[in-house]
Amino acid sequence: MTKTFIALIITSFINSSFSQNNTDDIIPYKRSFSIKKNELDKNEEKILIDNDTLYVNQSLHYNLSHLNSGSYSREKILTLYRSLVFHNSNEKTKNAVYLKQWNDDITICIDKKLPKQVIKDFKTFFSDINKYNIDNLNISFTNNIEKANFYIKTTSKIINEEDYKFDSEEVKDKSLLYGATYDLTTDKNNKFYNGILLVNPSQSNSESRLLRQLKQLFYSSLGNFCINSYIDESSLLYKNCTNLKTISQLDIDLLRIHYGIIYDQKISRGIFKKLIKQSKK
Amino acid sequence: MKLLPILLVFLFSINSHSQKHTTKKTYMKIGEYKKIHKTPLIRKDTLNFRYHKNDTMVLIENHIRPKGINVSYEYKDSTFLHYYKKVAFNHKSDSVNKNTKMKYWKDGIKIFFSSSVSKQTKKDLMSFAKSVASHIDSLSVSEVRKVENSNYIIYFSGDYEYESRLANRKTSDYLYWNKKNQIYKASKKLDPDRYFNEKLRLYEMKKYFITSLGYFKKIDDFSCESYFSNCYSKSKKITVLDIELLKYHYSYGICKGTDLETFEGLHKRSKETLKKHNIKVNFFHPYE
Repeated sequence: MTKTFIALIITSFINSSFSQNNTDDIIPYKRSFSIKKNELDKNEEKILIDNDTLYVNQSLHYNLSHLNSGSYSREKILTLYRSLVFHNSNEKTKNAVYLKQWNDDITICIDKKLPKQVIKDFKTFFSDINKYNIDNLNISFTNNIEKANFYIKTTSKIINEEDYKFDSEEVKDKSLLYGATYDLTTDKNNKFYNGILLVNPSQSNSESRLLRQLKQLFYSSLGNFCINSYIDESSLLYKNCTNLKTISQLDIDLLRIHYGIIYDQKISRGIFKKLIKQSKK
Repeated sequence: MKLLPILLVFLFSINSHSQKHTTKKTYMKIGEYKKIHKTPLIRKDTLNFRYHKNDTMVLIENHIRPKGINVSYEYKDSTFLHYYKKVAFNHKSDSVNKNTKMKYWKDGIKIFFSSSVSKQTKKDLMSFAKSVASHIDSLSVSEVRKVENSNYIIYFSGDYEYESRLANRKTSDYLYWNKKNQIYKASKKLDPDRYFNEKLRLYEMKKYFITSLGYFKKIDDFSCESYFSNCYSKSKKITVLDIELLKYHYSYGICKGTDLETFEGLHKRSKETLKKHNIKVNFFHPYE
């Protein structure tokens, strides 16, 4: 009995010694250095420069509460979220998919060649997102392209006619990528800072289809989310989604999880799993 | 070329004085001598041996020191050097390779812009580039009107193809360097459709300008404001540390174009010398 007790104490000690106590252990924080006079903390990382000393900023421990919220059950939505963000990849996959986020407010400029009603409905739909006060996500519109970092642009070039093989005309017509595509510029840290949604309105047989396509592709571009047929039909990520008038609670919850933190480093499926574990502590 | 400034640190001079003239004799540690002289030492050499601090010194006959300047070793703390090495020695893969060499511009940078680049963007980039160069003693930047007078070209896809190696790419860049790791040509090509406004184009040009000053690696240690950071920031700026890293890269107080192993070895020896003997360590930079 005594031996068992001692063994338990040792195991417990080892576990606590090697467990990760804060998010810095999981995601190393990025350093900024500044000149501070009369610094007292001798352990702080510092760099000597001519006649001065640069001190590193203090690390900010992440608040992981966004991984614990949402109207759906926590486990269910996080499982869904991981499949949307990391697709089918993990660390062992050859081309691992990392979590991708915008690292800036999104300012959209829409080409005036698009039908007026489509522009109006698109703006109304996505302006509503701001009402939910999602941390680190702000979407606005501008008519001045010089102020934009996201451009919804029309083209007369046929998009994805030959690149994709569609089983039938009906499938082609329903496909999100027939007549539209998006391209996002990503930094080396998997953060977006510039994007283009290119659309050929002549490939759409109705304004309703065009609007649905723009809504779904733009929403998908917010995190390079995977569009699929297993998600709830209320989501813009549902492959055959109908033309929703307002954004669903599920889509808002997914954005809350996605933008709860702008991560300092690249986030793989494995690191995300550790963050979820950490959020339970 | 690479060895010259390094080996000269270990050259040891003795002045023999007589009534009429002064003869300067130059000695080298026997270990260093054997590394660069393939012929074996002969009796005459051994007769001229000198002993200095437990080292055997070999007389270098008819040593003619090339023209150049002697510059004091620039001390930097280990934290600074840790980041400098990560930035300046841009390894081909994620693993550290001791043979990776740092790169630098020997001559002034002369930038040519294609006619597609707007006047305002040109003006803003030149202002940024000159402001950066003003902090660096041995770096100059100017704009040239003729492409043949340039060594740095900025253009858009759809323009004349100024760099054949970028012909199949819409957005990319290319740096050329010689055997001495001196950068002598740079090209930056941008896709004006992807970078659809002047703000985005200027951002890319500024980012590349800093990278191209030393084929620098963007690292994940620094906050996104730094130009040496691997991430975007709308508040990108040249930080105090960015300037220090650039100044050091172009400082005469370090050897240029060296590999990582040599760089680390030099710092180790120079720091030890400073610590043990508290004497000034010099680098010799020959003129070319």
